[in-house]
Amino acid sequence: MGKLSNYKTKRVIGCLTNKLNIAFRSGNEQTGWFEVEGQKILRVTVPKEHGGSSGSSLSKRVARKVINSLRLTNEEFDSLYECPMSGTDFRKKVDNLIKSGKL
Amino acid sequence: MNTKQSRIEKEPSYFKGGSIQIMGLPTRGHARLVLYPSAEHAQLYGAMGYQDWMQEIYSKFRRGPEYGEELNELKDRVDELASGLESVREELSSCKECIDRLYEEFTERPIIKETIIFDIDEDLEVITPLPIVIEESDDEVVASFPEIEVFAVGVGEAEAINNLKIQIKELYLELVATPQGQLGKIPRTWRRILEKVIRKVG
Repeated sequence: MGKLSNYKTKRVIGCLTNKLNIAFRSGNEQTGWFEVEGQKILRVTVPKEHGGSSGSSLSKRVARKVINSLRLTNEEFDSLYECPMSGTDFRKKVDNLIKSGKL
Repeated sequence: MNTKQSRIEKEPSYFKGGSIQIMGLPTRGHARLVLYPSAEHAQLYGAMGYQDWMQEIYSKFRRGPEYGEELNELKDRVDELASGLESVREELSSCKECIDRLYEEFTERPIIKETIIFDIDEDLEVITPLPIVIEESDDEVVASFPEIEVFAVGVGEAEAINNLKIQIKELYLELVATPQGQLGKIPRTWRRILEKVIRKVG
């Protein structure tokens, strides 16, 4: 697994909302579901900014939890974050995980 | 006797500028070859005598190809060393990358501890205490209940645990309110786990 990049909270939210159609519910943390044909498959939590030196970026620990909750590798998440991975690509990956019985 | 004399224009340098005389003796069936030195070598020739001079030239002439072989061998070894050095450099670079990553992970390594929560909310009763993990670093504290992949962040431990309780409650209420058919494999498992450890009051 590669090195974790520096992920901006707002950009992560924007990316997951636009590409994966995840509707984040605003609470003490922002959580949302990735759904396939109306079925809740994966739940992702992106914490709100809590201050500290990391500012508007996700800490590495939190970034790892976000990535794990999406069942992605660091490289795949980078690809999603930096743009090359489309929502369709992610859907294909999830479909494969469902087919293999992992989700 | 036929005699032919030619000026040497090509290398090796110690012949260049000199001349070569071929004296053919047809009756005897062989020819005699005489080398005359260049102006540069003429002085040397004069000082050391023809035989010695010829010996000197001859030895230089003979050593040339041997040096060539040695030089080629040396060149091959240098090439080999250069390619070896390149692979050592690559390995060192990858080692440096690993060390940097390990150093980063080590210095940023959080204090990890486990604790148990006995209470979540007044609307929910905890049937079995929940084991949670606390990861503390300089910037933040992350509290998580790994079994159901729920985590929350706080500036301090208390805030992180409180936020985690809210997350657990929200997830539980959402899961029990969602028909089973609308839950994937993983959320169904989370629901089963949560139903075993907490329940609604009243």
